[in-house]
Amino acid sequence: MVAAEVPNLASAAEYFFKIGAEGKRFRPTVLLLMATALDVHIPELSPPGIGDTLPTDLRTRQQRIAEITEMIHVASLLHDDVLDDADTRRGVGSLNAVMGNKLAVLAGDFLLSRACLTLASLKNTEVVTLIATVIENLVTGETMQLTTASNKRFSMEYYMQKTYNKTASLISNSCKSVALLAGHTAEIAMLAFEYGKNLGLAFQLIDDVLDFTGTSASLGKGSLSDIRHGIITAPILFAMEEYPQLRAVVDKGFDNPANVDIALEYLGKSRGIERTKELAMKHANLAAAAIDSLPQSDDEDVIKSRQALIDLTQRVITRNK
Amino acid sequence: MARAALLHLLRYRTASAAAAAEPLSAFRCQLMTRSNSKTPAAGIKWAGFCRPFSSKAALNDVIGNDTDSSVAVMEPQEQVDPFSLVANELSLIATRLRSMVAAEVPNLASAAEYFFKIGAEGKRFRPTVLLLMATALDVHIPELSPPGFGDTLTIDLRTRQQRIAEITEMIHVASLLHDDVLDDADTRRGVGSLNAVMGNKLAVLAGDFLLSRACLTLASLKNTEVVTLIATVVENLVTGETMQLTTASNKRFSMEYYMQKTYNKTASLMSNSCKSVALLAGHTAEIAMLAFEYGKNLGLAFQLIDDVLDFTGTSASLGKGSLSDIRHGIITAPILFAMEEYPQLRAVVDKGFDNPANVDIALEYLGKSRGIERTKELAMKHANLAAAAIDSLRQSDDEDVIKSRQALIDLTQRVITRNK
Repeated sequence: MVAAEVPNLASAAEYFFKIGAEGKRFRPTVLLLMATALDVHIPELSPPGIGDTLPTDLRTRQQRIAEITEMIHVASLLHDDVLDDADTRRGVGSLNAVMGNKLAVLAGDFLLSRACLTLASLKNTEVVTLIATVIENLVTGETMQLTTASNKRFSMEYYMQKTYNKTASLISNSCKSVALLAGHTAEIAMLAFEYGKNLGLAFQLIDDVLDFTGTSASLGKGSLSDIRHGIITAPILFAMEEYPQLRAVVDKGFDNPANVDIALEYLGKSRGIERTKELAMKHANLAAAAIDSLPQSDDEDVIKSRQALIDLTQRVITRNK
Repeated sequence: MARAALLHLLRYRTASAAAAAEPLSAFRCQLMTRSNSKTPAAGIKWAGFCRPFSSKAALNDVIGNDTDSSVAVMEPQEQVDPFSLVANELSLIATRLRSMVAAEVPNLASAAEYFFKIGAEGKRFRPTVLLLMATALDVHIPELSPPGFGDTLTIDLRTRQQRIAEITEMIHVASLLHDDVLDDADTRRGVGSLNAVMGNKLAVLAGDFLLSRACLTLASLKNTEVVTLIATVVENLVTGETMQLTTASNKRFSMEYYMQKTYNKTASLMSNSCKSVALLAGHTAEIAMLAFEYGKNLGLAFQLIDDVLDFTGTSASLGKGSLSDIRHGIITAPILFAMEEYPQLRAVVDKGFDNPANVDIALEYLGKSRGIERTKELAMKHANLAAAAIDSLRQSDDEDVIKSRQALIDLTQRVITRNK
């Protein structure tokens, strides 16, 4: 799907899917499990004879949602990476560097347009609306993170909204889309949405914790990378509630490593890490509850998939990396 | 000096050529130069004409350079000014666009709005074409109910067609935002101040934001064929930009490759949005194709003249500096034609144009060749194809329909006779 006529564009786009294929299968996994988990008998469907051909098409369409989701996710990564490179390289303006950045922005745009084309092929405008909303949320979330207005940066509410935008919106809306494609009721679509949303939030909260507690070998991105980039996450926000003087420290910024150490001291004294884990667990449980609220089914595959989805909620909060 | 002489030669040649090939249109535009005017008088801003299809940086618009030092004064003889036909609707669309790009996050809102404030002044070409097309296509559709019931239907349809105009503008501005970011990265060479980075980052994000708003608006139309067409446009824009980046020399010297790139970068948006306007109205595939052909040929004609003006225009009028294409190593139609006559020009082009002396050499060949003339001829061919598409529409006695169609045809002449 990302093959392009122009060779450069093709290599850029494919490259990130080769790398992506190794580790980033989380979202598609969730979506495919959700597709099966929702396989509730829909009364208006024809009896099995005719109904056999329909599910195959449906499954293909649901798979498309998984593909679209990945394309959008990678597109957002490409754009984010470009801008970070602009940050750190500080204008080593070699043609290769510029071509690299330019191609990355273009490749991101290319993936977005392919995602839109695939969306269109589903011929379901509600789904198109949901996914377009995701893109808007991603942008808004990224921009919220750029906003340095300090009153907002220290607000837990703002942080959770940003986290929803940046991380949870994609999973929640794609889960909902999977449900809508299958023709499910609004209630069931909402349960799928709630699962995705809470799973995403739980995931990000633990991600925040691991940025402080994990090892660089396991995370692959370096401990304390958030705080070093001046990104204030849940543990620090909780710590600031207990130690208001931490605010002043945060205000100074973290270019000075000594300041990082001071902040970590406060964090260690506070219950910041614990409270973040508790919040993550709360969301994980909400996600599991959404699955439990689905209409009963005796189908073995359906039962297995639902159990798998619930297992995932536990995995995101007990993982060490 | 030599370069000035070369340009002078080119301009004189083109001026006389233009006089010799004057189109039959009864509509004449005269340019009046007011060198000190800050606020352009009511009239058509030719700079606005240039900007929409230009792939160059919107930097001058962004930093507020007044590129409108020349004002076109209409001498309407019998025709109506195309832009005035849709002026009210355009204001409506401009207002809606501004509210549509309002975002919750202030920074994002300023970035997005900013380009629409500036854009609102000059970038009305595409919406104008689309609104005129909407009226021009107002052929009686047999299956519609009689007038009473059809009224609400017609109003809704018009609103939906206006949405296409808004979507088109959002996509266009989004592509400009991204292009500008990348050009800035080029030229600023990492003056990595936070503001610069925030500026670039916000511009990329703002572009993404506009794209997502365009998608949302598209979705609201509940017409998946239109969604497909517009998504194709976005892909074409990206492909076109990438084609321009490709430095494989065999492709760069190919006229076919160049026309494909030009279609992708410039004409695709126009052609597919015209087609979308037709599809929304429920027209047949044939009529939709005519609308497509109009947009496509109009866009191609526009870009070809843009290429010519980059050699022959003045920097005051274009606002982007003469020879900006060639200086950026972008090989356009006039040079491609010249290379057919003078193969040795290839070697010159291969050397690149960082050295200004090389630019002069290339200009010399261009001056000797028929490159400029042939490009203008090609532009005229496409302009005529666009006009022919309109003529092929089914006869109508409705006055508005007739006026709009004439306006669309007038536009095809304007794009090729403009001086900036």
